[in-house]
Amino acid sequence: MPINDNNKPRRLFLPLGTRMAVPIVLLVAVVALGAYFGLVRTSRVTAMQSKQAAAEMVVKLTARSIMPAVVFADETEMKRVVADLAGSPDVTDVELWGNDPKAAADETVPLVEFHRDGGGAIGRPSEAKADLAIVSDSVKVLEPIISPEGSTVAMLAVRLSTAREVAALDQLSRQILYVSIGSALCFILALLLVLHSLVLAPIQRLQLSAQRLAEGNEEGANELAVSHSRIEDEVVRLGTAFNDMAEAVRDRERRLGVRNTDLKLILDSVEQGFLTALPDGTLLPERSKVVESWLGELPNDCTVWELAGRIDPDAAGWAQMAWLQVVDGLMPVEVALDQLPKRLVNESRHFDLAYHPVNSDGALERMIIVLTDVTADVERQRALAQQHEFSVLVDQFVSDRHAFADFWGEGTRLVERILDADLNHEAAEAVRRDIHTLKGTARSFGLSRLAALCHDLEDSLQGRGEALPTAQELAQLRDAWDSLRRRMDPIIKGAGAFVEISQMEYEDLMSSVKGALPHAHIERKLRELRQEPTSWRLKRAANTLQLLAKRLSKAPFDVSIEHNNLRLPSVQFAQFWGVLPHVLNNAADHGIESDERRVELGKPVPGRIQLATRSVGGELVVEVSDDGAGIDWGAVRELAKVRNLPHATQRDLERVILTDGISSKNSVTQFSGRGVGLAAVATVVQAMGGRIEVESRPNEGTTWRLRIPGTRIQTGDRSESSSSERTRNELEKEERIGRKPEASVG
Amino acid sequence: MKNVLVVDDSETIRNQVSRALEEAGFGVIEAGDGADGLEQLANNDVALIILDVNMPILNGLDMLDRLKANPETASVPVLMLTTEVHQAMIQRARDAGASGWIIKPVKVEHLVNAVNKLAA
Repeated sequence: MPINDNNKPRRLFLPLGTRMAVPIVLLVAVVALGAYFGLVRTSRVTAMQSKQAAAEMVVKLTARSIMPAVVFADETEMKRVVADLAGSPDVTDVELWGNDPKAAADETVPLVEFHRDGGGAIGRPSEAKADLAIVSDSVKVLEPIISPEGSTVAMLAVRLSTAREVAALDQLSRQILYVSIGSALCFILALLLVLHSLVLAPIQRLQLSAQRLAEGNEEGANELAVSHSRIEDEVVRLGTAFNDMAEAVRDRERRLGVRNTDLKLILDSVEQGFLTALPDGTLLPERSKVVESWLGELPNDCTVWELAGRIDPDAAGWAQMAWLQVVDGLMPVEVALDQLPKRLVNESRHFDLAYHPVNSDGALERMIIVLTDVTADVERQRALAQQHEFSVLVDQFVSDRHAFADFWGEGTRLVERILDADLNHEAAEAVRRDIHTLKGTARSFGLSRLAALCHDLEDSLQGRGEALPTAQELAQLRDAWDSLRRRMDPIIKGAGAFVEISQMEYEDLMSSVKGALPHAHIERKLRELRQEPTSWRLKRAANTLQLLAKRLSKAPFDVSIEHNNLRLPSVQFAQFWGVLPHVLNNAADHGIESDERRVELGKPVPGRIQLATRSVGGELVVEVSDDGAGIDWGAVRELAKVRNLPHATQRDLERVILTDGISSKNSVTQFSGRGVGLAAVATVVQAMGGRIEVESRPNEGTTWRLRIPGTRIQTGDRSESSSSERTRNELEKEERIGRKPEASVG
Repeated sequence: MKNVLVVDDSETIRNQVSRALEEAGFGVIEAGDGADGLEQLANNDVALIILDVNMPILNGLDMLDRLKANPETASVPVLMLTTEVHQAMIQRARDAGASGWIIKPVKVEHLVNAVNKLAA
């Protein structure tokens, strides 16, 4: 495994050879210098001592040979002896000091003297005794001349030059110097050769071996580190120890390699991508193979945010900022981790990201990132939801095409309004209302996915404290609606080409043709078939009641429908049918008691609700009857008194419960009880010139009768007339003799 | 008891955050926008500021700049609440001295943990 050089401290490289050679050279140089100076000094001292001894001996001999001449004052002889002495080239000065007969007794004078060129006076001896002194480059010798009687009769002073000895010594010194230097160099060279051979070269081989081992060249490392010497020393042992260590490293590498291969096999086999990131966000190169098959080859220094950006370019900045927050450690780690992207989507894939920090001494050391491709799950859930919704829509479409058309039109309008709204605070409240309305509408049509999306949207807006959805949320809504539209448009458009008629209407039309009724009559009937049958509306009302029963935890109601083959112009009655659910809510919620209560009262379970449309005396009558608890008129009267409303007659009381803010029930549930719905129904009915009647008996039930006058009602072959009562009676008779009601839901 | 200043134009958010922090033992001071927040800060001793980004009158980032420029309030830690993560916006908040940021909607336990750590 390569070593990361970045972590090594920077050091000055000073070769071991240099470090060992310097003290050796210095030591040898010192020794050589010491030897040189020692030899030179010894030579000099020896030479000078020899010179002194020779000078002393020569002067003593001269003193003895000149003594008779001095005693007998033979000047000629004295000069001859001095001349003999001066014949030696080393003698530079000779002075013979003796008593001067012409002078005072104790005063000495030079009797004979000799001075060579360049020499000088030696001077009168201060004492009459032998002396020897080396002065500068000469030797001065004083020798008394003793008479046979034993008295000192004269002093002989001789100066001898040491120039020849000095010259010889200089030459000798040079020779010693050359020999010393040569010897030192040879010694140093020999030492270095031995050092290199026994220490440096093996260590260099070890160092190269270690380097090769670090680079993964294990064979090369082994080859270099092996020593073939038969002699063992510390360095050889070091090499052996290195080989053992290298073998241990190789063994560990092998085992690690096997384990890594196994781990990689696992990582590459699982369907999740495992990645590891350093605290600086850099992803380590060891990662699951599947990651690059998803995202393509990642660069060596790829970061966590670049990884996120590969999936969704918009998420790169988000991931980087969140990563910095994780690393800086100011926030609790679980909070900081929660800000990282957890689900990323690109054009074709959905990925979940999970983060697992690995800490060392409380600091983030690594982050394990698990990338999971959840595209299949998302698509499967989406497909299931779409399929379910599509089934629901088709069911709704088949069972009540007109109701579906209403829903579709309203849903389209709401979605368009939400998507087209200006994203400003003024539009916010309207958008929020539209989302809420769309949710309710979608839920009532069983579109749970769309309803859930709207619900999440509302939660998200509330959670953020903002009224406006984000662009991403709007895109989700658009996608959801477009998905529905793509599937439903062909069906809706196809269905628009047909006019549905019931069997009864067909037979009625056929009998008109067979009866040769006027052409205008038949044509009118055909035209009227394009109007909306009330049966469709009542079926939808029955469906709504069953949904309410489920939500109120009541047994599915026994709903019967009596439509009397009426048809109504859909546009004029759209608002009327829009408020009818308030009456249904009232019957389901406050009319029919809970199942337990009905059992206590001895009433049948489920509760029964009858829906009917009739044409009576030129009026359309829409009736909703239940066999529930009935209205507590006493409570209504008390409420009217409190609110200061007329309450003298039953009609007054009926008006009271249709007043805005007055409920027929004391409690408010999710579906009714606020006293708003019935007032809205009354408003619409009154706007159509109609009225509302209510009949209610305690524990027997309530009947709401909505009467709309002057309506052009079609009744199959029977145009609106006084015969409508007969029609109803006939139908009731048919049902009593065993024919099932046309629709009975639940 | 340590006080936390919650600055958000959404009453719903303020209520949620306040309830969570009060249950965690903090005193809560509320402000509906940045200007109100600075005023509350001048009159109260607070250990932490929770600051929404998008607000009318004076938005969160501008308020952050002002309170960090004031030596008396510069040392108060600030936790930003944000709806969407825009790199430039978060970077500006970090550069201005915000201690951290959390994406809305906020998990109550995360909020309390963050406040406990930053206000310590």
